[in-house]
Amino acid sequence: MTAHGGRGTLDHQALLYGSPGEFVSAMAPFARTGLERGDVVVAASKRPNIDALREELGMDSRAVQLEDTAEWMIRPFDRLHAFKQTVAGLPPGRSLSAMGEPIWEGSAAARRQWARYESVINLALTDAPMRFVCLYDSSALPDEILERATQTHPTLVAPGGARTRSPGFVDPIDFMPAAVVVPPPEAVDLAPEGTALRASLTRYAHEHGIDGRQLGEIALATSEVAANAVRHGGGPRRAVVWTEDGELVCQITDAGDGIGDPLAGWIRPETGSTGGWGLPIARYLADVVEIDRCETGATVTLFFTIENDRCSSGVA
Amino acid sequence: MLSFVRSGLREGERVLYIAADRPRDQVTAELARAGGDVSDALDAERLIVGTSGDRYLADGRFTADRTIDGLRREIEVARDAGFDKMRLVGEMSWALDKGTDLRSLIEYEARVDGMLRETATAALCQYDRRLFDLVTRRATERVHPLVLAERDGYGGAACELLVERGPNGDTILRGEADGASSESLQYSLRAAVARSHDVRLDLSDLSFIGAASLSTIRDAARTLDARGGRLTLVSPRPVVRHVVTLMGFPASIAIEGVA
Repeated sequence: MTAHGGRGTLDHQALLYGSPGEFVSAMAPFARTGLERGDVVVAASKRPNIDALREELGMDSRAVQLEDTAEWMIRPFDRLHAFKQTVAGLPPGRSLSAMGEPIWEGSAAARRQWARYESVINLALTDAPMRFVCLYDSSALPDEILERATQTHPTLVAPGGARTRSPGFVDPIDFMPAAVVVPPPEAVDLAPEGTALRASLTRYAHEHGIDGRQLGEIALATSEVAANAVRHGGGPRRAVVWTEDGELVCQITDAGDGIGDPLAGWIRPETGSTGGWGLPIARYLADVVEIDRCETGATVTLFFTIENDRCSSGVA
Repeated sequence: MLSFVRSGLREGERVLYIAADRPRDQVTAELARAGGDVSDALDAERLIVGTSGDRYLADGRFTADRTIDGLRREIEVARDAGFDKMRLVGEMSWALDKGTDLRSLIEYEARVDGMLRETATAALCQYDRRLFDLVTRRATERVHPLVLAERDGYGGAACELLVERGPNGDTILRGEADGASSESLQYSLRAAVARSHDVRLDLSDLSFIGAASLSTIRDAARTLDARGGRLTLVSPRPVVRHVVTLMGFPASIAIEGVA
């Protein structure tokens, strides 16, 4: 037997709850069952839900990792890796019981990315010994997001605990065809790659008051996407930048066949791996990475929320 | 390459640039375009241009002895003209023509090293990696203890990445380390790892580093870590510190000073 006690299977479910009370009545038993089985138990949800769950669990709550979803691993890339790491660190024969609530307060692009994360979970954690209940507040969320929940979770669970197979589940390969992000008319063309790309991007960023650590992150993420376009995409055709609603947006279009793998960039390469870091680094550094397909090739759009924190600027 | 030339000029050294494949006038014009400091140095003969024809292939054939003697004389001439030190930059693609035996080239590179040390002369030999086969490149790299800078072609422009060894033994990266330079960085770091138990990598003059080069540095850090050594990153930019946590650097790495 291997150290990990063999392969597990992901049980990925969505709970649509209407109130903290409904949340607790469904999730307190889930947490207790997990603890009784010897599982590692993690819950990331909205603050009122977490507080109510802590109270309901009483002494047992000390054995549960309770997190406010608005503060814990607030980018889906980081959250996926937090779960992957927890799974990797499980003692032999043990499982993970997790509750996770995506963050739907951000931009339209950020919401699309969270929906994609939910779909990608099915592939990225497919072998994980993990019961994973994703939490959807049906009293607050628009129908569009609730419908996507049924597309990204093979199983739906009712507040009373009844499980049903989701009739609307969509294979992650086919989930949510990309909505191509069209640059606005004021978007500025950049040199397509290399030193010249970084120089033109730096100029633009400086004009918009961005410097220091954030500029370093934008330059690295964008360079890596452009380098991928050279290596895999038949060369970059166009690089543009614009600002919109407090975000700086960079878009690289290449001449390749598009990036068909829904997992692209979501998985960190093996620790010793030399290649394959470009897109993971982009996902790690950018707030949102959208991979689209257009007529001429793949389009990767990177969104960075502009930080106006003076502390972060002026540091070269 | 230009930062190598410029640092020699700043130190008050005479710099000899030996070009291959193109006439002296053309190379002089290319260098002059690099900036006022370089064109002034050309006018003052602090920077002089030679060609592979007159320096390496005097009678159409290459021999290590004659070339080394010639360079030694050149250094003496510079001393007489008031330059304590000399700095050499050679484009090496001439070695591919004229039936030069690449083994004699490697022998030359190995032997010229002693003469350069003796005369405290810094030399930068530029091998265009598109032209030289891997075996020759590896062999010549083994006999170059100090400097490996690389880009595709000489181009007359500044190198993307220059790897130097500082006076305190630090390995210093200058310029930009993107995907195109990661292979030469690999060789340089391998040499640094072979040389010493711990390696200090000075990144303060590095304006950009990409994922491929970071992977290369991480591999060096892991090699050092496996034998109980340590890699120190000196003055990395904040983004480098941040990405290092993603890319699986060993816990033994140290970071000193943030640029």
